[in-house]
Amino acid sequence: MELRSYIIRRLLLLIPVLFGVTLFIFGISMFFSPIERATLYITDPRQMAHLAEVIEMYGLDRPFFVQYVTWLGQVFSGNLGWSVVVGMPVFDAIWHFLPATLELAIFAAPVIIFAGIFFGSTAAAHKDRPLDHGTRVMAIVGWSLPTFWLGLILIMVFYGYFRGFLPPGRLGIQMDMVVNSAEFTRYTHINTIDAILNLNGPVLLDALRHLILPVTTLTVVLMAFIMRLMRSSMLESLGKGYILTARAKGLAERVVVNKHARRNALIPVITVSGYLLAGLANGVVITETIFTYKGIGWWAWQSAINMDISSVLGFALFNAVLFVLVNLVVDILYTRVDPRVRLGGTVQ
Amino acid sequence: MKKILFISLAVILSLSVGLMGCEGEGEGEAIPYKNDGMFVNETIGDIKSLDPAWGYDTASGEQVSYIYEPLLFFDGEDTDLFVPMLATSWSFNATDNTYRFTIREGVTFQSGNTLTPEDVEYSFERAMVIDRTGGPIWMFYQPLLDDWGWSGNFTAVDEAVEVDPITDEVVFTLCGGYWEFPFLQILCGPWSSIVDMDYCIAAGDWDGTGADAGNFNNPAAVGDTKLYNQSSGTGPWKLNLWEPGVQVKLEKNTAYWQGSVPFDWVITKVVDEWTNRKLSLLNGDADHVYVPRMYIGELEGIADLNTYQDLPTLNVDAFFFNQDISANSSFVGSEAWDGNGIPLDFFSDLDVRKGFCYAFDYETYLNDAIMGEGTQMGSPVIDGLTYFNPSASMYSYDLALAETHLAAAWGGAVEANGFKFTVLYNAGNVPRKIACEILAENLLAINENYQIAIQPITWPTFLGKIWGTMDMPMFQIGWMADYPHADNFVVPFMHTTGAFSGFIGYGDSTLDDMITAAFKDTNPVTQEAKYYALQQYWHDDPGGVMLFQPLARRYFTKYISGFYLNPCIPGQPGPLYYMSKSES
Amino acid sequence: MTDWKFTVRQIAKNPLSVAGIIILTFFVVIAIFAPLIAPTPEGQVNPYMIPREGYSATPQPPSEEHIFGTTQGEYDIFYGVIWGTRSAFHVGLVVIGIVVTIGIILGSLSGYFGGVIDEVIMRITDIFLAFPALILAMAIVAVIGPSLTSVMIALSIVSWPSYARLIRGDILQVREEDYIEASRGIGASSGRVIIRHVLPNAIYPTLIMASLDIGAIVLAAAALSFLGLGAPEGYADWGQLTSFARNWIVGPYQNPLKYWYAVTIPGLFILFFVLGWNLLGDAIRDIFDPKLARR
Repeated sequence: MELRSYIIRRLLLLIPVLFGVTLFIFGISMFFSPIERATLYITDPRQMAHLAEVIEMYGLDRPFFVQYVTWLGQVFSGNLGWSVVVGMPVFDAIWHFLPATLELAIFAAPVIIFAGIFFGSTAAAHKDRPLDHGTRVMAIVGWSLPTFWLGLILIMVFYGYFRGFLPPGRLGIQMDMVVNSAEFTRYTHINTIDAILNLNGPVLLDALRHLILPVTTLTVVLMAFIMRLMRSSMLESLGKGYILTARAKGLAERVVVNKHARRNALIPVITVSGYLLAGLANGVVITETIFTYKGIGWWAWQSAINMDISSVLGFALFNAVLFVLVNLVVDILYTRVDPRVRLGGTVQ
Repeated sequence: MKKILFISLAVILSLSVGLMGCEGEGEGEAIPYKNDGMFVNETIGDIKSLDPAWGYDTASGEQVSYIYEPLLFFDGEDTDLFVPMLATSWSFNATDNTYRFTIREGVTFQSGNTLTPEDVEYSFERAMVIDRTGGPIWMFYQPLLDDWGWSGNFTAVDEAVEVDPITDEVVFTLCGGYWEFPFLQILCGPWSSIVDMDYCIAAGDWDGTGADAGNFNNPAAVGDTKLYNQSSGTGPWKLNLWEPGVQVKLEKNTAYWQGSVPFDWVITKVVDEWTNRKLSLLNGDADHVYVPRMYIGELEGIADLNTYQDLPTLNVDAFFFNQDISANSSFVGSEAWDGNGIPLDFFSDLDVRKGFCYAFDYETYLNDAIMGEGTQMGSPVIDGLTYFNPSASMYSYDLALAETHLAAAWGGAVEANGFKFTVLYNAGNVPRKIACEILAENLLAINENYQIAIQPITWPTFLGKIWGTMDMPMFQIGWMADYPHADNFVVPFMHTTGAFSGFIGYGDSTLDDMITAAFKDTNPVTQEAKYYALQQYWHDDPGGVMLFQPLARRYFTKYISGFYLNPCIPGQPGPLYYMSKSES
Repeated sequence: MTDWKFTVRQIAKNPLSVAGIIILTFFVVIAIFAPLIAPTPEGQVNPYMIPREGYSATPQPPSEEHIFGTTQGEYDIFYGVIWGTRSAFHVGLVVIGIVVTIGIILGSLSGYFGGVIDEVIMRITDIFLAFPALILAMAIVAVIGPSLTSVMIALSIVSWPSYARLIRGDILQVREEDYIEASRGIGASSGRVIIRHVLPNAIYPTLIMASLDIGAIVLAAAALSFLGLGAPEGYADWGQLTSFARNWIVGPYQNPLKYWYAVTIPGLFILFFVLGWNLLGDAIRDIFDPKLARR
């Protein structure tokens, strides 16, 4: 199947997915009475006496399909609605909170992937020996820790015990001043990238310093996925015929492992890495909350518990688009890396 | 080999990055001095809007009170004495019920414009035109027009606030002389801030005419008002940056009319995690943080902290009885006298309510829920409000009396059949949960057929149930003063249109008349007698179990001085302009 | 040597697998004997509600009465972790059970029959996968009300698509095999073919993933508790107990580890539970996966 038509076909499939997701959310929100949904607009108990007016104003008591179609109409004209929890249009909210999440994702993903690959291949190369057991247990222990538990303990140690060594948040107060000043241009709102573009060393270091704890937390927890996959995948490829041939030819063990086994073992890892990146870019709610690194995950969570339906729908759209795009990229990459697989063939 | 190199490089890099930023190795309990010239506050909850006419929450009010100023304000810690701010003097004319304010000269807004009486007129008329649903502007409509909100009549609004062309005073026409004192209290609130008329009009705000008024009334979204995220006030600080959900940064107004602003920067950060806030305070990264009551024990005995405690607040929680539960309620069990439910008007019987009041263990609640820091109240009129009765009758914990009342309730039906219903509280609120458990446990101890189930629900759902579906048999909620007058508490708790009483079937027209008569009385002696009578009325006919008026605490680093409490100042840090920060 | 004997030997050779089995056995014993180990106080109707002494908001250290101390609100930690074992098994097994069943049904239909059925089912799974899992879980819990049941329903709805996909993929591989052709050749009905031939050969990766996921489910439930959407307060659930510890991880200045018991003990229970299932799952894979041939 041709690449272009494949991409078009996959992107067209995005449409029913988007409809399905948004209809579903709308459906769930209809479980709440108009009164309960109206409470989103009220910040203080005193205001509740005006409930009927609020319901009228936002059309909360109109039938399901009327509300859905109205919303659709707004979306097609570029208006995703207003996010009440953060006081700005939904579209703006997504752009406002995305950089923080992307910054975490950009730094966490490579660390997780490389750590996973490294430990996975080490474990495979020393199968059933202490090193194998050790790394596997370590990875699984990391994964078994509740994220917030680990995060808070890290904060206790590195911010508390070590008196402000690694603080939460995205930037310290002084660097925050610099970043918001006239001399500093925020191109992407991703502090590390902006710091590099502005050739500003202290800001870069400060941003990195604030990234260490959240990235460590995410790594410890998520590394096991990649590690486990890498291990089994390496074992599988180490057992293949061509490895035997390579060894028979007299190639050094290290070359056998690195050049031949690993390359083929990486294939499933690529798939999972794609999902990992998507998952991180989706927002890791708990990490963002604990480390006051407010990104899209935090925003989506606040929207959900405050029943800010517009925000939730906006986030769901963003999420769905991201998911389909990542799937698409991974599938295409898969065909590049593994010549046996054709586009449009069955891919697990 | 390469791997090991890679890893060690990474480790060294992180360590050096971390060490490079590490400031000060304070030994032991010492809190290092950081961020000279800045006041850093970490709290929960972001602001909603910087528009004085919109915000009705504490966070918004706090920032508005830094950026803008009202005509007058409370004097120090008092809630019934005033000092001039943007008005230099005022006088009330009892014949025509007009209040005249002379406006201070030589004051400039942060935009550079000069303050004139026209700005004052514009500020109030603008607020009354905007009058958003559920906003604070009813507090202008009540004293000026004896109404509750915008009805399209701009002429009335226009005539209520005028500038006298001869004397240049701003003239408010009140609807009754009894508003003389409470109106001054209302003028101290953040909603009464004076805005910059020329700045607003230039930004596309209401142009001041009746024709334009309809375009600005009751905006749909909080971001629709022009002063939502931009401002020009007369206050000591001006807006530098608002990152929604993250922080608000204010910088010093160098042209401030009172001169010498103590902080170059006021930074308020939204940090939801208690652990982070606590460590920030102890590391000196924050000068003040919000400390939930449960964790005050963790900040004991630290020399470098300034702790202020036993601060009287103007709020109170009550455990309300819903005397008119709605028909589809799922919390009343079988809805019948069979021991598995309660009838919808269960709480309309006085003995039931009195029995419950006696069954509540006030002491345990005081000690466990609010850690001993509060005063029991006998009625909605709390300590610190004008006409508070310090010897008001209060209920005490008396299981024998509770049993007697419950036995007499509904002609013996309660004792004979028992009851069962569900009580709800907003999830996460530990003191309210404790109150539910205390009540449930004590009632069970009287009679094993007196059963109460306890259920948490989320805050939005909870609010919806109180005022919308009205299906909860009992619930707890609190009230915070808008202005420190007894009427501001009596109405919501006891008037038939009150924010609480109106939705739980409490009160009648006789009581309403009593409340109105008390408010309209201009003779302090008789007025006091009337409010004392109202407080006794609540005791004789309780609408709920009155809980405690909490005593608050504040935690600052030792470098901050000058704090005092005025319960009407919005926000926690207090009178920031009168505070200072120094290393010594 | 019979197959079983060989399997047992394989397991015994691997110390990690043995460790996993021992850990899980330990938990199973606790779950079964919970009423004996931590008896429910007199008069308490629901054994899953943790008993409490008073209402104090601060955790109390271990004492004679409370072996593991109490957490905030004076809930007994020992009782909580013991009965929490039952909750953990309950949640994990029920959710996995539902998810695997749905996955098998939909995945087999999709994989075996292909065509339109396949497309429709795959699009439905796409929709669910594209759905932000946490939001969906939150919405469900908000509608039904926080309880263990709503957590289970939410997690089931969120997890089934991956299983459907997995089983579909395995079936796609298996259905081209000769013995399937042979079955069809002699006239076996589709249903019979699926159940008797396709599934038993396709199921191993699924079972392995399921066993590993039981731990993940328990962790996800704990995360929901942390966000305030889990079991009601006072319910014996590890996630609840760990989330109670959230604000006590750093104690008072002089003694930052003062509340270690409230923080560590529930966390350790979760840790070992998940660890046990993981080790077991890995062990099963190492042994049953035909691709990792017996060496």
